[in-house]
Amino acid sequence: MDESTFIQALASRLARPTPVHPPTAVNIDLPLVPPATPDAMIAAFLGNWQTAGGKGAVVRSISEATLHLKTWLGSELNNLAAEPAIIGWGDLSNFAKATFTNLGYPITPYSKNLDLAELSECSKLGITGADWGIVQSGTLVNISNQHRGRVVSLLPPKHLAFLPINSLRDNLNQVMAELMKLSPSAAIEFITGPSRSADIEMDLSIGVHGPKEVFVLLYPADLDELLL
Amino acid sequence: MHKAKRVVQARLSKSLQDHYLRQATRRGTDTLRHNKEKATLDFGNWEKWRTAGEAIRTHVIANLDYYLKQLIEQVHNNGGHVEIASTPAEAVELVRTIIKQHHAQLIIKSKSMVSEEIHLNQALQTIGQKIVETDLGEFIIQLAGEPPSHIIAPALHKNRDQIARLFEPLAGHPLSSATPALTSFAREKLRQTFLAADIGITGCNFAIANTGSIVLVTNEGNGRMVSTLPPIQITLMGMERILPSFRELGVMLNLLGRSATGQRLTSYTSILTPPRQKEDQDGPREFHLIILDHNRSRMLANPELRPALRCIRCGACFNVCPVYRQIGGHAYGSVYAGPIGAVITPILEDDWNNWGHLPYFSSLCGACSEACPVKIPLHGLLIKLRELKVASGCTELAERQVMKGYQHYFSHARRLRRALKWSYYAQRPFIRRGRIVSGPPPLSAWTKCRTLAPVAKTSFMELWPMFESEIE
Repeated sequence: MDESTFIQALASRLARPTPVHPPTAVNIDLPLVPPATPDAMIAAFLGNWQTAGGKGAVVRSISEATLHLKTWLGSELNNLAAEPAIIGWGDLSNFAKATFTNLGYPITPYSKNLDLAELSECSKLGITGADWGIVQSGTLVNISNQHRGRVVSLLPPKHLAFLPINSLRDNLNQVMAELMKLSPSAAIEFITGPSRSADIEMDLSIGVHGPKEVFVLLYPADLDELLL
Repeated sequence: MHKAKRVVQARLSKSLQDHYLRQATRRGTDTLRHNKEKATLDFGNWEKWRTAGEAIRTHVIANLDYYLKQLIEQVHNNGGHVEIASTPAEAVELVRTIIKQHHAQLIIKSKSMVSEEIHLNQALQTIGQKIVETDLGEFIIQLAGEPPSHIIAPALHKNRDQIARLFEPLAGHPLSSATPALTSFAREKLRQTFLAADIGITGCNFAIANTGSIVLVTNEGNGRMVSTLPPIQITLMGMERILPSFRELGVMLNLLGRSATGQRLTSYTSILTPPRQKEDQDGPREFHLIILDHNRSRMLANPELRPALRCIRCGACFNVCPVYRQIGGHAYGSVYAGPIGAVITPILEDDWNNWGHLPYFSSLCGACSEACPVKIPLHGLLIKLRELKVASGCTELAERQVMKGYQHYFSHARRLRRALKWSYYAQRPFIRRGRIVSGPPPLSAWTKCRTLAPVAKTSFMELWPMFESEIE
């Protein structure tokens, strides 16, 4: 059906012409949790992230970050030496890059020239940043662009995100308000824990299609500037 | 009509005799309901959020033409294509045309109730087109050749042994029925399919009018795969699934995750504005949005039925419904089961003969209306639909005669009194231990399964003068 005929038909079903001006938006007056102290926000974010099945920590130096990664990845580290075992965004933060340099493992920047079948087979860890973290739900928000392949947080069995502490927001509505100021990119992903399903007898299973393990390292944003 | 009734009775009988299905339905709905209760209590002020959800969805439906027009313009501006389908057949034909244009061999699909509504899989398989469901539950029921039995847990009725038997022909060897083993097999099998697919078909939890975006709410990550890996994306959308902007989306996502599974947010919420931008490294290069009417505009035209269009397909009404709990989803016979399915199916299908039974799949307890995150008055709508069914003339002769008899006696006091006296004596052969336990048709339809209180010797009308004097 022709689009304008369709719209006209709907207007006639509503028994009035289609409004020319935007309808007055609904007033949304919802009680929100009062702003917490920065430390309380960090603790709440990590608590909710862990409840959703992720692992996370606050780090204040490269050596602290390295230590956490060694603990989390354990013997899996042995499988990360050969490229493209670790794939990452092309615009990873200085802190993320320095951490992996210190760890001694190469990050393959994701690009469309990489073979997806090979990546699916060989990549073990995907590394991204995060635009925001949502405290109330323990969620990472990733906006895609030319440097940020969407598959980095999707294809490998493990996903690690570096999140600057000052990017924490209390709730989803705050993030939506900030997103409204930007022109939308092709994908904005909200990630809350690992891939999961309860489709078999309501029995929770982890890692159905996406990553089986997800990690977040929260770090002070000024570390990126110090590492310039 | 008699044939339709026999079909309904056969479905009901099958469901009622399937002990695993009934047990699984009870267990599944209990879990989902408790999860929801916990998530809403933790959140606090749930009623205020429901009120906001109701206001937003009511506003959208009242301005549906404006927001759809805006959405269509934005999708065009973003470089996408929009197609409108009045009927399921038109929607299927639009999908087939896109497939043909691209000589696509393998189609993958994430969960989409609209695709179930238009029977897309069957239509494509009829012409030899390979289409693979990628949501684990949908994958299971596609292999079983069955429709979903719950809107968010489509394979609720299958146990792990049955699932292992369904997977074994694909694996080519026996499989353990442990959940991690089955999940791992599906991951491996479907990963190859994701990578080889030519077209990805998604549903649409919400479309955002002022950006031309599509929002997918999933837990497994298959929605992300389907909308990221294939070069072409087709999104199927019921025409009412729209929101003005991200502002309203924030509220609706809070309501949807908590109402559906008790999650604050599902594992993945994707706001997609396809196709990919010029310099992007991945994402579909081509995007088609197919907007389906399928008699939704009939609901729109009727202010009494319009609230049904507010639905966000969370399934919360399924999990509190005492009828759904007993019979499961397949007994409804429709794509959409549960209270919301009983409301929308007769209208969508425009067919009282085959679907007129659905508004009676309800005890009218109102639990569904209380559970609905956007306050759809579901039980009130079920009563309205019963009224519409009677007005359509699609009722059985016996029912019409009973109602005529009811009217005949209850419209005259003396006539009613005489009938009650007569009934008191006429019922005697059928009473055992103070209850009516048998009787002639149509009474026998009731007494076959349960008993009935007998007519009292002294009627309420005869007792009333005594009560009246006591009250005075």
